[in-house]
Amino acid sequence: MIPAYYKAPRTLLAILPLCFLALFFLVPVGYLFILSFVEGNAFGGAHWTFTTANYTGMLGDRFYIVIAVRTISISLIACVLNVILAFPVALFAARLQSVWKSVFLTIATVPLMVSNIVRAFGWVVILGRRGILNSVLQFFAPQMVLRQHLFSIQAICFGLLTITLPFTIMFLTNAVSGIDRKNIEAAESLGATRWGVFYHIILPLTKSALASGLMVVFFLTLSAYVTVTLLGGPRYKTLVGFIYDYSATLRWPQAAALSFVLLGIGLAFAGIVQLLVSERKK
Amino acid sequence: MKQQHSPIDGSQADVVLAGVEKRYGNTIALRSMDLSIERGELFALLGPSGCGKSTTLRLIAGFEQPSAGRVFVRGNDVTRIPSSKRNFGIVFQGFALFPHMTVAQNVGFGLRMRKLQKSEMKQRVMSALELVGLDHLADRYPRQLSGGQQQRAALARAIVIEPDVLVLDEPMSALDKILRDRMQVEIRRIQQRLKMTTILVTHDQEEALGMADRVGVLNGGRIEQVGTPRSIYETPRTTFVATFLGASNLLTGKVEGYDGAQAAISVAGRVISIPRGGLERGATVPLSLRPEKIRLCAHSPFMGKVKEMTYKGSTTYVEVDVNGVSFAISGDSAQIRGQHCEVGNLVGLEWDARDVVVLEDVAS
Amino acid sequence: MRRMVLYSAVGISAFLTLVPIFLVLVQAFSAGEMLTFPLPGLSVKWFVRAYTVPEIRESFLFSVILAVVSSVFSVMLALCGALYVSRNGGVLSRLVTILALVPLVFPAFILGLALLFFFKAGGVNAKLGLLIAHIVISIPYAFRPLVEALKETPLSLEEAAQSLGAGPLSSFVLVTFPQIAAGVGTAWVFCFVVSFSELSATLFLAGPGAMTLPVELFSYLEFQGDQLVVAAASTAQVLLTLGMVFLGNRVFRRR
Repeated sequence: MIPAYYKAPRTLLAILPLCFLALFFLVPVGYLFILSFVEGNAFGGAHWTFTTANYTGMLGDRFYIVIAVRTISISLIACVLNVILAFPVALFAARLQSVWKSVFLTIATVPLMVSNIVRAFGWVVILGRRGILNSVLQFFAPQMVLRQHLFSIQAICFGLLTITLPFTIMFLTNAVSGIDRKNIEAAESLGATRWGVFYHIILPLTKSALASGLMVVFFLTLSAYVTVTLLGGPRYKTLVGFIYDYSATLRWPQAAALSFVLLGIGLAFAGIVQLLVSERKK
Repeated sequence: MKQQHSPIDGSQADVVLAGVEKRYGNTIALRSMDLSIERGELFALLGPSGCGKSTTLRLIAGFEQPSAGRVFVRGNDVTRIPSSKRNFGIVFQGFALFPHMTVAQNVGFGLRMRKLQKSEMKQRVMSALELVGLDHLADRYPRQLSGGQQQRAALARAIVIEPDVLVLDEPMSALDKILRDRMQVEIRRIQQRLKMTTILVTHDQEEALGMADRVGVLNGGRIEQVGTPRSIYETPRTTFVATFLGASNLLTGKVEGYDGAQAAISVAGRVISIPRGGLERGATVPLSLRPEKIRLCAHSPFMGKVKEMTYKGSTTYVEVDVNGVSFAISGDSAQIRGQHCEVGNLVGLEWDARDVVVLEDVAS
Repeated sequence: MRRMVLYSAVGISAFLTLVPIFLVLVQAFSAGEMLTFPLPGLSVKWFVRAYTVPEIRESFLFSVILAVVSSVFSVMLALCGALYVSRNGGVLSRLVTILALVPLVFPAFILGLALLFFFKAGGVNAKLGLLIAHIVISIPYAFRPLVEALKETPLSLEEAAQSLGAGPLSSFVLVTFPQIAAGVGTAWVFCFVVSFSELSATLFLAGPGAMTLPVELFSYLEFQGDQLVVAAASTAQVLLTLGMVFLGNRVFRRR
């Protein structure tokens, strides 16, 4: 038996990080949740009276619905583009020999270590009024009127793909590499075409990785405040933009409520994706 | 049924490799191979790992294309035809069952690709599963099956499409010894019942000898010998074939002359005669003599001292030194005991003249 | 045809993920006065100018210090949790695992907002607040490699040490820790990188005297500051990060 004096410090090992995370993760998020149900005052404080107005006010307002739809659409577009791009890349990478594959994965994940601000700024450099795209355009068509390419949905999508693609590529490459090559050859020998192999073998065997990739993409794009602000400008605000504005203008309960709406959207998406994945498994 | 087999015979051939070569960059995996596999036979490609047998299989199955030469199936050139169009049934090493499909879905996959009707598909899947004795496990997933059951499922998946050729790639390597022996018999039974042309790729000589109608022994990307199991075991042509198919005494002899049709060859200081012509007088030739072909006796020209004895149950292994040449003998334990064989004793060795095989290798 | 699809997807993906970063690095070395393409010439003058902007200089330094300190704390906390999880089962173990990994998926943006309100209510100052936030956010990045490293270290090693008379602490220090030292190093580099580039939560918590480089760059860009100064500062950030990762790989490579 392990003596008691030895067991106690062991439990302490668990208690220490547990307390820290409870105090600085669970409690603040819980506090935010409570805050979303109280009436705010103009000074960043709150009258501590219960209300659901922070939520119901949004539901009744067409303005918020438009923003929510825009937010969700942008995230969904990012998801679709991610799948379209990352799957071929993963199929390509999975066939590389081991040395080249690790070189590939290293290069593919380098962007993850670069701050989002730098990656968004990269698109400002390309798409800005004096950016590279305009320089190139001017070189080929000098009389053309220069347009601002920033502050558009396309710019937002580019920026979001820069942030999310490394994740999906990493997830899918690992998943596709994990498929036994013999499974694919077996399917081929049984008469499956390339598309048949993809649809019947590769897709089902990678769908859980695909699902987690999509959830990461969705959450990341949902809360990509910096990217959307820099590349979308004031015209294409999404929900996070309003959360930030409310917090800056001291409308804390509204900011809190909007945060949970955002979380709710993300969880709903995650739920739908999980449902799709597990249903097909049966 | 045709009983006699000749190495290259186009008339009955189901699969023909004509001058097939495979290079990967500068390394040659397979050098100019000619091979003809006949309809309904079970042909074993036997060789150690890295001998080119997997490459041969991948070329035949269409996963890779030869650098030179052609592959024919039933007279049609299929060299450039992809695997999915060749109608081969393949049992993969490790089985390669689709993990996300049930046994029935696995077996039905090839039929689904052929767009068969649901009802016919179901019926054919069930009869294939019955044939391999797996009909009660149709709804299980591969991970819920034992090794032997996975093996049967893989076999059912390969034969249900009624393939032109059945290919078995090291089919037993994932099974334990007892199961392996049973599956050998069973696969052979099913193969003979369906009269399916079958290619077995293996490194296990017992498996090849026990299952095949004919065996092709591969070494270093080259076919060394093709023949019935008996002929390649009893009359190996090369040192490699002699040693790979079982233990053998590799002796060096010198051709002394001829006595009629019998060549007189000196081995270990004694002269033996072998019914064999065409040998150059004075030449040094490699010889092979299987340990179980040697008997112990009281008197013989070959007298030697017993150096080592190992009792192995029904057989006993004896090593005898004759004039500095070591002979390995494997014989019936009772018979060897009867010859007063003990370490240090003097014993005589005898064998039938035809059991000494002259190998074709250049003596080195 | 199939090849074409694969290669064009690889090309587009490489363009989308790597080119923006690359262009920032290139522009930072411009000899021109503003964003131009192609570069009028090479120089390092924008690095010098970035350095002379006090806000950027100070926030860079603050970011480095914050990353170093917060990553040490997150590795220590994660190591405690990982040690417990790898040696014990049960509810507590599962709880630690879940809680240590949740910040990975929970939007940092919302966590930042929650912590802002929480710290305001508790009167925590900005520097301490940022430190705590960065520890919470980087714990998962330390926890995962540490659990993996510990799982590869058999418990029997520790038991062998204890059978030879070592106490729990000395058996950990003398036997277990050397086995997982590479994992600890990797975990620390991960945490450093995460903290050094963190922006979402920091946005809420940074304030006067506690400004990180990414937040400084963001507000600089928002208020139309000089873009090449941003490029130079970004480049310094990217190079420091990649240098850390590269060094980490060299030093903490597994045998």
